[in-house]
Amino acid sequence: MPLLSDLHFFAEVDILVGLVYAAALIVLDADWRVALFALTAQYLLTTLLLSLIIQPSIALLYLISGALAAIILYITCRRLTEERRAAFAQLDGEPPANWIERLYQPEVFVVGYPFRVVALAFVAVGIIGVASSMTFLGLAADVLFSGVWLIAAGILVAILSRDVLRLGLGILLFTSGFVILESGIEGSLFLYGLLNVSELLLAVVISHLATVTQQETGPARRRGEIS
Amino acid sequence: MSILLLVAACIGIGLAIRLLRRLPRLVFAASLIGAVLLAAILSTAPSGSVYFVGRALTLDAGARAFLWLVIGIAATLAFFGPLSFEPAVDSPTAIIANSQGAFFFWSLAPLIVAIVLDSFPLAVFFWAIGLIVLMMMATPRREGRVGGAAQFLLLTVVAVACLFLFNRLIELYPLTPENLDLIRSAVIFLSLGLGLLLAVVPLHIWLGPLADEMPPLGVAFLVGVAQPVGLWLLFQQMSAAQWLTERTVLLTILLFGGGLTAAVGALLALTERRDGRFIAYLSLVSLAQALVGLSLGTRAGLASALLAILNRAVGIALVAGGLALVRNHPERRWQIIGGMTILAGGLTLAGIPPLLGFAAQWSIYRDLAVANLFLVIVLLASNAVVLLGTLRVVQPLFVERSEAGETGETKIVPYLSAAVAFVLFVIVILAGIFPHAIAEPLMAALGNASYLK
Repeated sequence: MPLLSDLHFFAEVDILVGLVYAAALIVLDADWRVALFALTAQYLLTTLLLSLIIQPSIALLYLISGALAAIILYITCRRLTEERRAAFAQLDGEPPANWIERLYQPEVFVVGYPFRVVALAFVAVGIIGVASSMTFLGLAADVLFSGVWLIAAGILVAILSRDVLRLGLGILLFTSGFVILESGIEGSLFLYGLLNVSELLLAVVISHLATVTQQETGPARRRGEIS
Repeated sequence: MSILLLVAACIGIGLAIRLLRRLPRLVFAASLIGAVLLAAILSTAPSGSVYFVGRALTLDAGARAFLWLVIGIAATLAFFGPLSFEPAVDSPTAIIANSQGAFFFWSLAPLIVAIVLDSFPLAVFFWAIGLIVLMMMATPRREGRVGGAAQFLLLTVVAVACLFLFNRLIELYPLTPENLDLIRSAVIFLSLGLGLLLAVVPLHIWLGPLADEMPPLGVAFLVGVAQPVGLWLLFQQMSAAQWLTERTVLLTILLFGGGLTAAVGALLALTERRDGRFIAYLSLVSLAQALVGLSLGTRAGLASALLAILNRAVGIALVAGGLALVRNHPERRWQIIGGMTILAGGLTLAGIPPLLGFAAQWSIYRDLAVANLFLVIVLLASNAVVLLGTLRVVQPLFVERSEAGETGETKIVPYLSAAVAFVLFVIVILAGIFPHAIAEPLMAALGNASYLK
């Protein structure tokens, strides 16, 4: 019969694996629905991890702010997709076929899938090396790994993305990683609350920037087309 | 309570400007009423601390002086806002252009909290909130490319993370004073965090792309109001933790970072033709002077750094206001008045006597000449290049005849904005002739900083 400590360990491992998958999906998959689903899952897993560090009722606040941020981004993505469809319909007089819509889908990343896989693998190996060989401000290895992994994945997404909304997902990944580290180090309730608020503010500003871009430039440029 | 009133007033004025955005004269009036209201609240606010959610908001003499600067410059830029009015259009760009003052006041609210908060990480947090709110003014140019504003959001988050880590490390250091690695790491995080947000060379690469997406007045707010809050936080940390300057190379980083920033900023400004970038690069030169002044560690150096921050804010506001006038009002008279305003700003930034810039830089050069003559030459050359760059921008405005004739329409807003620019220039001249009138109260409030030699 497993001991309680074993169960705790398994829970931590499950969360870590989940965070790795969630961040990897955002780096690898260009579809915004998948990326938003992964972001929401990441918020859930981060909340679970936070509940091991701070009081579960306080950790739950992060899930609420994360869910609200995801809703803001979902509404923006839906709106932009609808506007793009409407722009195509205006050009041809009828809604475009799915394959035409996919062809004219704007590029999300500046590099292709194989490069992203290799980059992600490098980052993962690097972080495993860092988290297993060093300590930082007395943080537990799993907390350090989770925080640094999300921060690194966030920066990777931001570097590789060509789309404002995807870059925004990178920023939110980064802040999630930072919230984990900060909760492990500081434990200030006021700061934790403010970080949750900033999550929402970032989501609003990202949505605003994405919306303004779209409205100012009209229909999308063809996939791979250089300006 | 007064501080919370200031914050509430900023939000309220922003809302009023946003609602009145289709009526530029009323926007100007709302900005003026807002500025008077903020000045009244600040001048009648009692000194001492107010506690809010367990945190002290302290309005001491230093914070009060700094608040006068940021509120004054923010209000000035809000006065210039209606110059770029776009009538009868409701596109997102026009909405932003017509309500620029709203964003200034909304961004000012968290900056005020950052200035008066007693906690470094919370102050950094509110500073970042002010910067993030300001990004709502940006309009990305092209789809299919991540613009400067989005990149700046990422850099802000990264910089805040660095500054939080810095704070944690300096909290730990007194517990293990023999661990010098701790303060070395702390200085690295501080340099990275502040270097990114202040755009110190070579961490300035975000400045150009962001300036492309912001209105020129927005760039002026960023460099003239929001960035000085970072310098304020740096000064507070240097004053609070003496070992930060004694046992680390922080002052050396400031000195050589400042020298490099001045040279690169001046060269970039000289060749720049885009308004936003021109303002941004001009501001780098006077940022460098403030950094060098802080790095000297003397009372005169600190006084000069504070004057340089003020000079930078006023000079940039004049240049941005002049550009707003020139780009939006093609009539001959406004071209000339706009050109004169830009020239006034350029002269201020270049430190031409008897303007404030000269008084600010004189003490820096005198103290620096003893330690590093080469840097003095670099700073002087940078000033000369700033002057040259400004002349290059204004020369066509005076020489070329504008094709647009006089419309005969009475334009009140340009007249009012010209009056604001004139008052600002008079203030700069008076401050340049009597710098001690500003420097002495400032030094009385701040001159007991522990890091001073």
